Amino acid sequence: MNDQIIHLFTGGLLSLFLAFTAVGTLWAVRYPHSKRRLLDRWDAVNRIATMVMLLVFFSSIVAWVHFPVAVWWALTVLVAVACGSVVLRLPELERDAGDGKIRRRKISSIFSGVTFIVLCVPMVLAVPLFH
Amino acid sequence: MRPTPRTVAAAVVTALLVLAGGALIRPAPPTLSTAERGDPQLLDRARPLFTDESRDLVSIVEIDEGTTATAHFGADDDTDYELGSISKAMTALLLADAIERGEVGEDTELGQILDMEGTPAAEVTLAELASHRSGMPYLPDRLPDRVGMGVLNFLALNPYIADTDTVIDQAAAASLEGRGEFTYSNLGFAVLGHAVAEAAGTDYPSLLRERLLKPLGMDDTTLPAGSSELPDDATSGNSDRGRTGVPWTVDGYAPMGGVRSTSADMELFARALLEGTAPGIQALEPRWDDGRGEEVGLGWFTLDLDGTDITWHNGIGRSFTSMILLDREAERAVVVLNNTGIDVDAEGLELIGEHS
Repeated sequence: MNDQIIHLFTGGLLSLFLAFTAVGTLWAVRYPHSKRRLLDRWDAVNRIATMVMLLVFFSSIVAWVHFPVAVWWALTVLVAVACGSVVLRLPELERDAGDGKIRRRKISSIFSGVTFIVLCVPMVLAVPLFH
Repeated sequence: MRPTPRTVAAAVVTALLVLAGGALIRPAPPTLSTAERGDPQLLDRARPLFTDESRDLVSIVEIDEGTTATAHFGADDDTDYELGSISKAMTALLLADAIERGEVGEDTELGQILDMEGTPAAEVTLAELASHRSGMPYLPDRLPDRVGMGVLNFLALNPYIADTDTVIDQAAAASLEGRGEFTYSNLGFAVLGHAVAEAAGTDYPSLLRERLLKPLGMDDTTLPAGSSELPDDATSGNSDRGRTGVPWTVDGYAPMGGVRSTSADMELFARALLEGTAPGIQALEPRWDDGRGEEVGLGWFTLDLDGTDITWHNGIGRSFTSMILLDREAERAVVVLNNTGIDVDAEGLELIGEHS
């Protein structure tokens, strides 16, 4: 398997995962009584943080010289719409769903936020700092 | 429940922020520059080779006996590029030169020069290091080194930040596997350069400058050890992630990949190699099987291209790639320099193969 196929495979897999996550969130917003609905505000925050972190991760890890950049723009728009739609639902959501998993959702949100920063800082600042 | 105007505004702002962030970190792989200069025939031959993949600046030098042709895409004779592992080929010349001077022998062991007594690396010979047969790992195999370099690599930063003492420590701590067999080693070449310099009573940058760059007149070839030593107008590379690459300014790892040069200087280098006037020219002689159907001398590789022996070395960094190929019998050479992370091996072979 040559490098280009590996990059296409990796990029394709990550794209599908991110698209699945964003579409799942849109589904949760659209169907508030479904099994995959937004449970509470921390669930909403967690979903936004996860999608944004995955988007940055996707941008960081894919060898874009071998993968279509149009996919990046399509996924960015999808994630933007998904994040916006979650915010639309935020006021309706309870502070705590009372299912005993709020701590897990808080930790997951913080982890995603920190990962987002760790990935973003070198991407934005490395070249100005080291060049 | 119908969302309030405030909620709608917050949702729109959130979506716009994500879009703006996406635009800020968007990947933007370059395309080959259309600003061409140089020999029209060489430009015509080279153009189709470099338009398929993401390229930006490309410089080509072609020497055919007495004549030289250059082709530049978005560059000129003085555009500087990271050479990557062509630095190893220069380090190998320094080793062969030091052997001619009697400062070291091929069988001199690392432990006789550097302070690494009692370690497996101490018994490794300079010739084994130069021909990638020392069993030294590609990169340091201590867990903290592997994790550190792995993280920097993942974040598309410069993983080669270790200083000289650290590189020697890493080599001393390395476990050797398959000694005598070909295993390409960046760590091995880095420590080799420091050993040759130590035997000459100097440091690697001084050795390179005094014994190779100055005699060949390569005045624009540099070895920046840190970002502060990089000129403001240094050429930027493009990483495979579709962004401006962080320069690999290399300190302790300089002998394996720290040199920056221009096509004008690389012409001098290639010509000296063809004419046999470069110091340590014996390094080019093929001597050992590299296990891939090619032969390796002291650092330099030799392949059979349709019955013609081509002596070569390439350089593959994150944001720059390069290749030098010599048909020594026909006195022909091709140098390809490029500021993206996509290798130029096939293009270099195509160019030298057209006339060999």
